Amino acid sequence: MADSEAIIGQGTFIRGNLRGDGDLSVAGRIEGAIEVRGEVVFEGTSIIQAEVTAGRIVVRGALAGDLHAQDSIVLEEGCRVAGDLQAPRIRIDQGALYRGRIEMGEPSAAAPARKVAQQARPTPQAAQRPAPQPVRAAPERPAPAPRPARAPKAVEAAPPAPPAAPAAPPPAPAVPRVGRVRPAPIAEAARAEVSPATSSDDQPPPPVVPALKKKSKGAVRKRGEST
Amino acid sequence: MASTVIGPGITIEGEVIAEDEVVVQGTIRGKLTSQDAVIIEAGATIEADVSAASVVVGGSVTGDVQAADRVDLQAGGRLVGDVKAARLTIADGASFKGNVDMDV
Repeated sequence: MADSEAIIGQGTFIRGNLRGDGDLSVAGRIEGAIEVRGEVVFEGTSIIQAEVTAGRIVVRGALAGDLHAQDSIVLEEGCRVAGDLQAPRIRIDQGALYRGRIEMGEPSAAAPARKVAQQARPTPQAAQRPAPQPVRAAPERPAPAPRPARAPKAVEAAPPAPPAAPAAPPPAPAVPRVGRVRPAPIAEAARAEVSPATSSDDQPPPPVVPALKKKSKGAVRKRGEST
Repeated sequence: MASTVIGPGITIEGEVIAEDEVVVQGTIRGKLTSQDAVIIEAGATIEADVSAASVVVGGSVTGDVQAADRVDLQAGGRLVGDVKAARLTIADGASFKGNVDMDV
C-alpha cells in the first residue's frame, strides 16, 4: 500500500468522484466514481459503491458497480462484486463471489495489434515468393540455347574442328563442346550413334548424325581417296 | 491503521470523512472531515471546509477550518477562510486571510 500514490484508509469514507493518474489503494469506503490510470486495489476491508475505471483493478473487498479496466480485472478470494466487468483480461479466483455481466477482449486495445502482427507476417512471405519465381523462370536458360547456335557459326568461320569439318560443316554445333573438353566428343559421338534414328526423324537438319559415324566417314574418305 | 493519503495526482470532488489521519498532496473539492489530524502538504489544493482534531496547512486551503485541538499554518501555506480552533500558529512566510475564533 505504501507504494500507491493514494491510500484510502480503512476509517475513511469518500462520497463523490475520485480521479487520478497514479495508483490507488482503498481500504475504506467510497461512494461515487473512481477514475484512475494506474492500478486500483480494493483491500479486504473496503466497501465500494462506485463505477470504477482504471488500468488494472484488483478487488478483495465488497464492491457494487461497473468495472472498466484497460489492462485487466482480478477478483480475488473473499471479494464480493456485483456489477459488469469489462477488460481485455479478467481473472476470477476461487472463493470470489460475483454477479454480473462480463465483456472480455475489448478489441480497442489488444486484438487489433495481434491482427496487425498477423497481417504483417504473410506480407514478407509474399514478398519473398515473387523473388524466387523470377529465378525459377530463369530467363537466362533459354539464352544458352541460342548461344550454341551462334557458337557453331564462329566455329564454322574458324575450322579448328578439322576431322569432321570438311565432310559436313553442320556437325559444328558439337564442336564448341569439344573445344571445352576433349573427351566430350567421344560421349557425343556415342549419343549421336544412339540417337540418330529419332533425331533424324524429328529434326530434318541434324547435321551431327552423319558426321559421327566413323565407319561411314572412313568409307567416304576411302571412296574420296580412291576416287 | 493505515492512514489515508491523497497523492499529488489525485483529485477528489465530494466528501471525505475519515477516522484516521489524512495526508493530502493532491486536490480535494467539497468537504474534508477527520477524527484525527489532517495534514495538507505543500502543493496540495483544498477547496473545502476542513474539520479535524488538528490541521496542518502547508499547501493552499480555501474554506473554513475547524479544529478541536489546533491549527498550524506553515511557511508557504496559504489559507483563505475562517479558522476556529483552541490554538492557532501562523509561521513566517504564510499567507492568511479570514477570521479567527479561539473560543476565548
